Formats: sequence, structure tokens, C-alpha cells
Amino acid sequence: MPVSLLEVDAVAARISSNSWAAGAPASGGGSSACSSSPGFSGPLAHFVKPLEELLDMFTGDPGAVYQVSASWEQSTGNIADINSRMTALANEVSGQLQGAAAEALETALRLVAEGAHSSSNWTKAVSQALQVCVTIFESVRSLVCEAFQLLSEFAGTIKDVIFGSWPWELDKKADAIKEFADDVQRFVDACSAAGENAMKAARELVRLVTDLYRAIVPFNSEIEDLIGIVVSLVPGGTPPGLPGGKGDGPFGDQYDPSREPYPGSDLEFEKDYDLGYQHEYDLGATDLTTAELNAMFRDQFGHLFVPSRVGDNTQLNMQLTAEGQTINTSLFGLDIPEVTAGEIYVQQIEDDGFVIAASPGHPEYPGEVAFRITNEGGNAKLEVTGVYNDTILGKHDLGADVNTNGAYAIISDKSIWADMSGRIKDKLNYG
Amino acid sequence: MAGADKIVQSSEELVTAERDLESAARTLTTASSSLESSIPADAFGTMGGFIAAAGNQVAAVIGEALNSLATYAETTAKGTAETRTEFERIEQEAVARFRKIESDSH
Repeated sequence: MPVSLLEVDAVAARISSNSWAAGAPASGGGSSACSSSPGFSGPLAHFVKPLEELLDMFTGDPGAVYQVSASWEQSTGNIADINSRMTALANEVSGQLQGAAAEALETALRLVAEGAHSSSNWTKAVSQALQVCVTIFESVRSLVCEAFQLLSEFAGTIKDVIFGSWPWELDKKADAIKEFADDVQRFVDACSAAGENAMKAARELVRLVTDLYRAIVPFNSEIEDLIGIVVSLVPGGTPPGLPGGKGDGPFGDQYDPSREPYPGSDLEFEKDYDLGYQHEYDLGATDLTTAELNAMFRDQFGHLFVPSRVGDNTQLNMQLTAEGQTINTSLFGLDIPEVTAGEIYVQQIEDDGFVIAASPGHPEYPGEVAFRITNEGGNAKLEVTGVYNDTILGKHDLGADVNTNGAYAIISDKSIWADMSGRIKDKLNYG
Repeated sequence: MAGADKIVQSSEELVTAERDLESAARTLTTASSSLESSIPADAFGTMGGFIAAAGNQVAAVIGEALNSLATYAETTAKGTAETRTEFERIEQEAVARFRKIESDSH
């Protein structure tokens, strides 16, 4: 078994154990479900506002989670059969064939068997954990709904006192309102505690899922290396392309990055940072000069610069025009201020690229990113260098002493800049 | 077991391996594409967007692992086919030599 598989399987087992959910509200605890407050009249409405906010926070789409995760899980059933077939075949090869070719074939069959077995376990672990997580969130929603139901009944009984008593019976009205407010506060405290525990479990799950992500990447890398070896032995094959990582670390992650990310270029960072990443992408053959490539990118900025694609599409036709220009950004298509969304500004524009910096409130603040697009011997190349003191993952890891830079370097590569390089490539190919 | 029989049987083993590896590659590719569907960002409510993002990210990287395994299985199948062709060539050459030895001895 490849060494990296053992580590990935161990993380998947921790996800499957559901230990991350310890302390979260019991799943299925609530029986009622609602998506809005039943409505409270007059002075009572003010008191239930915290509960309404809690309800908004925990009202999602559990059906969508079940549907997608079930389709993921189904794939695990299909690939589980591969394990037994490939293992049986490897045993046959081992028993009946001899020599270097037979040994190589047996090794390959066992790797495919173990890889398929492990991948199906990872998928199952993640799918089922997400289903447990959404059930926990639903429990919080049910709890809030039950609180609303009880408060609504209570509000009905005191309505007569508040609205039916004589206007001068102020003490009577005040006592009724106070009693209601005290009851609401008890519900708010209970529901908030349940909500906090649910979020704690969710954060723990996300941390494990991030660990799983980080552990799978070396496995992929091992397989790619093996493919390269097999391909080199088979006539007519083409070795796979290089991944995007270019920094010192295995995933393009950098430590104490230089202020001058691209030697020979005028592009530079204004401040020193502890961490960073550097990726490069081959954009294919082009007859545009470096200056023309960058002019095209600035002109088509709204379509090509992936983080600027905020939900309302208001920045789709944006052009990169001047230093000091501000841009709203969101990562992973999510608009969560300070977590995945925030504002950036253009710090420097040169003929071969530009530098942007995060504004306060942006998840990568303080931090800067330098983009460079060049023509090197008729081939266009995109380079992206990000620098910061902590990653988005590190800021939300509840103080755990974990180096998240490698994982963030991968996430930035796979989910943002590889996507952007693909868009630029398409633009160069198809106009 | 005679040497010639051993070669013929080995060749059949390789045909089986080649066919099964190709079949595994197809299954892995199909499984990988099912992991492309993603959980909507708001599926866990406004507070849980990061859960959907993390789940989708890990599904995508598992999909990549399955794709890599599929490519590996496919490439190995191709390599096995090359090896089998070479075995068959050696087998034919061996049979021809045996026949020549037999005819020379008569």
C-alpha cells in the first residue's frame, strides 16, 4: 500500500467515527420544522428577534445535501467491486506469472485495488458526515421552531392582558411583557447554546475534511508519478503535465516570501509577510506580446478574474483601469464577509502584470497577490504569487497549532487560479 | 508443464488483466464524474457555507484521485497489451525453433 494511503485512511476513519459531533445537539431531537417566525404582535416582536436571526442562520436546504451526498455515496458502491476483482487478479498473476513484468503488473493491480477501496471509504465517510452535520443543523432549527411554537401559545394567553386591560393598568401590562421577555431569554439562551455546539461540531468536521484533502493530494501525486513511469515504458505515450505549484513547499507554498516575486520584473509587494504560495500555469501558444497579453487581461478583467465574479454579476464587464481601483471579491462562490468575501484594491500595474492588496475586512487581510502574464518563446505563462500572515483556514481553526499553508496553497491553486488560467487559455484560443 | 504451454497460459493471464484493468478504468471514470455534482453554498444555512465549500473541495480531490487511478489502470492495461504482444512474438519464435529442431532431428 502506498504510504500516503495509510494517513488518508486514518483521517477518513476519524470522520466516520463521528467524534467531531460529540456535544452537538442530538440529531432528530426536534420534531417541528419551520422557516420563519409565526409573527408576534406589538411590543412582543422585539424580544423574539434573536430567535428569528438564529432561525435564518440555520435554515438551509437539507434535501440538497442528501441528494448530492447520496449521489457521491452511490459511486462508492460501484468502485468497491474493483477492489475484490483486482486483488483476485493480482493473486492469479502472482501465482502463475514470473519475472519483472509480472511483478510490475501485480504491483499495479494491487495499487488500483487499494486505491479504489480507500477512495470509496473516503467518499462514504465525507458523504455520511455531511448528512449527520445537516441533521445537527436541522435539530437547531427544530429547537428554534419549538421555541416559537411555545412562545406563540404563551403570547396568545398574555395578549388579553396587554391589549385587553385598561390603558392605565401599566403595571399589569409591564409584568406580562417582562414575563414574556424572561421566557424568550431562556429560549434564546438554550437555542444559542445548541447553535454554538452545532457550529463547533461543523468546524471540527471541516478541519478533519481539510486534513483529508491535504492527505489525499500526495496520494494523487504518487499516482501521477507512477503514471509517468508507466507512460515512459509504453511507446507513443505522453507524460502528464506539471502541476501548478512553483513555490518552495510541495504544494507551491512559500515561507518568508520575497518582496520581489518575479526577479527581473518591476512587480513588487509593499510589505513583508510570513507565508505565501506561488503557482504557474502554461496558457498555450500565443502570438501576442507580453504587453498585449496583459492589455487583453485588463480589458476582459471581469470575465477572467475569477474572485471578482460576485453573486449579482455586477462586475462582469469590469475592466482593470488604474492603480487604487477597488474590487469586491468572493471565494468559492460564497459571500460570507471576512470568511470568503471582501474588498481588494489595485496596488500596482505594470506591462507584465499587476499587484492587488486586501482591504480591511477581506479574508486575506493583510495580504497581497501579484499576477504576471508573459510570452516566453511563443508560449503564454501565468504566474500567481500570494503573500499573507495567515491563511483563511488558519484564521478559522480555533487556535489549533496546524500549518494550513500547504492546504491553502492547494485550495488556491485548484479552486481559483487553475480555473482562472483555464478561462484565460479559452480566451486566447477562442477569442 | 511444457515451456510452450506455460507461455500460452501466461499470455491468457495477460489478456484477462488487460481486459479487467480497462473495465476498472471505465468504472473509476464514471465514479469520478458523479463526484462533480456539488452541494449548494446555502445548503447549511447562512452560517454553514464553509461546510459546503469544504465538502465540495474534498469531493473534487477524491474525484481527481479516481481519475488518476483510472488513467493508471488504463495505462497499465496498455503496457500489458504491449507486453503480451511481445510474449506472443517470443512464443511464435520459440514454436518455429522447436519445429526446426524436430525436422532437423528426423
